[in-house]
Amino acid sequence: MSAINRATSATARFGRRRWRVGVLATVAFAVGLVLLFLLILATDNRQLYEEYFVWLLGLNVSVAVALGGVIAWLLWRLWQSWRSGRFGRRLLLKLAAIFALVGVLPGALVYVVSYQFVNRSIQNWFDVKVEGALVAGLNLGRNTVDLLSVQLTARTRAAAQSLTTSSVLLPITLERLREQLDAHRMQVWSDDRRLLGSVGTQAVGFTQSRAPPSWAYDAARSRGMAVWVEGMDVEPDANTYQEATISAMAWVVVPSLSLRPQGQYLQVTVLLPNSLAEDARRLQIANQEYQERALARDGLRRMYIGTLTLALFLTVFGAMIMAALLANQLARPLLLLAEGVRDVARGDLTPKLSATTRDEIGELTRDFADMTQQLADARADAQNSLHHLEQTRASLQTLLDNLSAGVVVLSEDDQVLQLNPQAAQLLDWTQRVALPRALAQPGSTQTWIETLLGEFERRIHDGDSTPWQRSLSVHSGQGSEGVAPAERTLMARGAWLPDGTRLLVLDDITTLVSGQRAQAWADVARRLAHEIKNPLTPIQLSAERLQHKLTERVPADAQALLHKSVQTIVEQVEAMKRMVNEFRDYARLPTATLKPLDLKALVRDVAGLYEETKVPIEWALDDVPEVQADAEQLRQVLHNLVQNAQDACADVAQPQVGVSLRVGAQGRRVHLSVRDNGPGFAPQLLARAFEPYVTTKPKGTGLGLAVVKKIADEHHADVRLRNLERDGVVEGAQVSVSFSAVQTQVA
Amino acid sequence: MRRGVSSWRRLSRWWLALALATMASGVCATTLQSIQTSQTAEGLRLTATVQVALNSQVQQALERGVPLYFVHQVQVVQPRWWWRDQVVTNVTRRVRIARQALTRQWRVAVLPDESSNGSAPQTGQAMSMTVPSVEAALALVGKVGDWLVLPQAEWPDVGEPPQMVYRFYLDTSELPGPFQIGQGSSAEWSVRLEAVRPLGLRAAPLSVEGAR
Repeated sequence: MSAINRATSATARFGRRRWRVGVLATVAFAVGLVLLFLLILATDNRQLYEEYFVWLLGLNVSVAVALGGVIAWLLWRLWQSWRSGRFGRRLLLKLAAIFALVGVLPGALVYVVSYQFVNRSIQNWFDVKVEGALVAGLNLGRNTVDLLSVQLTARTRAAAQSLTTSSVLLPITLERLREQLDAHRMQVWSDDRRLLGSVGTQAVGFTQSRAPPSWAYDAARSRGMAVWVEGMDVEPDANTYQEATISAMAWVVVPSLSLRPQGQYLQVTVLLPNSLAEDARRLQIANQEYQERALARDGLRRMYIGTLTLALFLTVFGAMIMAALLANQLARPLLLLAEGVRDVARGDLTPKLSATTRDEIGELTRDFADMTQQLADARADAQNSLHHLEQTRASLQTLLDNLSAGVVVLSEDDQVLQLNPQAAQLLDWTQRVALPRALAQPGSTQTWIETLLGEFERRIHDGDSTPWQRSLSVHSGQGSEGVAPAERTLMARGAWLPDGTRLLVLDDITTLVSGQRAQAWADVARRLAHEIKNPLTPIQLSAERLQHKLTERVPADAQALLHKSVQTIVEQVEAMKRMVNEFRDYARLPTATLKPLDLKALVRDVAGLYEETKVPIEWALDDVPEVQADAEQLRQVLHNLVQNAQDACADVAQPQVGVSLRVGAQGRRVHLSVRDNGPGFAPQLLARAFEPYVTTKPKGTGLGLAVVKKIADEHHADVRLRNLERDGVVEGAQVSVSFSAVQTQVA
Repeated sequence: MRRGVSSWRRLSRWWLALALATMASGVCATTLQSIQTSQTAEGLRLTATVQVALNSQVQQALERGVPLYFVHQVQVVQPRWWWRDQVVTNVTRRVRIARQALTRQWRVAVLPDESSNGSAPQTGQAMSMTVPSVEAALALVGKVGDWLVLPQAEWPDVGEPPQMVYRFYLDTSELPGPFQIGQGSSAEWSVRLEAVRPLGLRAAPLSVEGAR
């Protein structure tokens, strides 16, 4: 059970770990992206940056969206757990909030500062002064060029006036003019833009003479002059430049025969100083770059701010996720612990989960799990011993309940704390009584209880704490209707228990005493018989001799007296002899020789002797298995019982004696019962009926049932004596002897 | 309530501005004045004139000295019903226009042709010109003449009759990077034009003339 729990929790933990690793990887990736951004920014590799910016941006945005989704999910889960009222949600929320705050606040601060910084920096780059300086520089260059142009224009116009029309003289004129103007080159173009003449120095790099742009002709024609600059243009992809020149072109009318005015174009080209051209180009390039950047200013700002914002989002999201994870990590063992404590408080001592971390909290959870385990073990032990104790107590109770002796535990103020059924019976506490209860009930006739308590008191008074014992006779039952109550003999033993209570053990030794009495009677009878029997015969013989000798000597009237007296003596001696014999017989009953006997045959044999009697006998004889018995002694038993029964109902109007022979329910015992419809046994006699010399008959010796009992004992048979009652009225008595049947060997 | 109204008003103002901007861009649209193809023994030649119209923002950038690149692109494609159209050739010619701040002149440079089939540029010389006004410069930019776009050898002789797609546009990818991120791709900076002309097979020289 607990192993399965552990296993499932282990898989859950594994799943959580995998999830956590995934999230951490995502966060690390995001941070890596931000770092890549920063790296590219730091190395100032503009081209790379601009090329991959959109890609990076997209990637970052998607990662940010993914992280945002994770955060939304986490928040949703937090909300769910908050709503479900799950245990530990406050702690989790608090920890997550603290960590998130710790992560987010510095990030936000850095963001605000950086935002301002970037904004200001970019604004500063595009300073008004810088722009003004650039424009001023451009104007300066432009003015310089303009100045040169104006000079050249003037000189060109002057030169044009002195231009001859003669084609022969043209080269010479041109050369002269060139030297005069210090021009680089001079060219003359016809009206239809053909080159008429050209002179110039062959400078390095000036390889070919180029035709002027078409618009120059038009301008010269319409306004008389055209000026243009060449070689100062900026080509982004050019490495070498032509030499910078200024060209001026003038249109002059030449004398002609035709109606239309004929003209010539004079082009003068002057080399610009190299340094000037170089500076001008540099200025232009700078201006161009500046303008480009100015154009891109907003974009740049947006880019930096966007990067910054994205970085903020990534870090904040990362921080929040880390916060959630950390909070979970921190709170989990605590929650585990708290949950365990709650379980234990509720009494649930099942094995507790422990955190696997190595820190103090993890150790705490492990210690707690160990503690819980020990508690559970201790409780199991306690329950075991309790169970054991219960068992011992139950067996002890069974033992007590089935003791023949009555056991009573008394408190110091004589209250019964505990007693077994035998004790209750002895105390006549027939109904169930609530304990504790005073042993001596007020108004009770059981004075013997007072005696016992007095014994305890006396011992306490004497300071004697040894166990004691004494016997006492008890008259149980109500001695009503003139019948003496049944007397029982009790053996009482008292002892002190370790806890100050007192133990009283009551033994009903009535039967024991009765047996002892019988034994004593047997001894007395034997001695009496011996002592009395010896003089009887001489007494009888002497009396008969007296009669014989004196009959003839005494007068007739005395003769009758003599005869009668002698007769009385002889009869009484005879009676005494018989009585003594009976006593002797009782005392000297021979040891029974047990043999298998057919009881039915024996009873039928005896029945023959009672065919002619005053009291009719009803014989109900079943076929019974053989019993181990002495036939002669059993015959004696049967005679005694039948005679007893006949005697008992001698005074009844319709005397009725029944003898029955039956087999017990399980076929193991044979019951011989003799019943009569006489007055039955007096209650006080029932217990002692088998003792010698206990009789209700005027002429009985009281030995009949004693003999029966003795013989039955010899035969290991049970004798039971009871009154037959109907509706509480005694209607007779029954004596039954049950023998154990001989177990026939079954093949 | 007040805030709601004001924000609504602001929103409607934005909409108005957007609509006006669209209209303005619509007014100064770049148009194709003429396009003409001729099949000679050398191959397919193209002559086209585009009237380039720039809106104020682009023009301002140009005035400030930011060089702009315009592209003439010719694609000859052969339609395929079972797959994407096959591009027979893809030739581009880029023209740079830049204002020279010092001389207040305009310089137009035609850069060497680039062809998708890796063949050498047919009319490959780079050429540059300086003109005094922006109109003249833009007129130069919008003109291609006698441009050999498809040599005879590469003419497809089987399958569907090919089509020629001519495009003219402002190449914003040549603009400074940060500017591209900012607004380079926005509608204001979009100068674009496209025309499709059917071509015959090699056997029958065809001349198509069209104007818009």
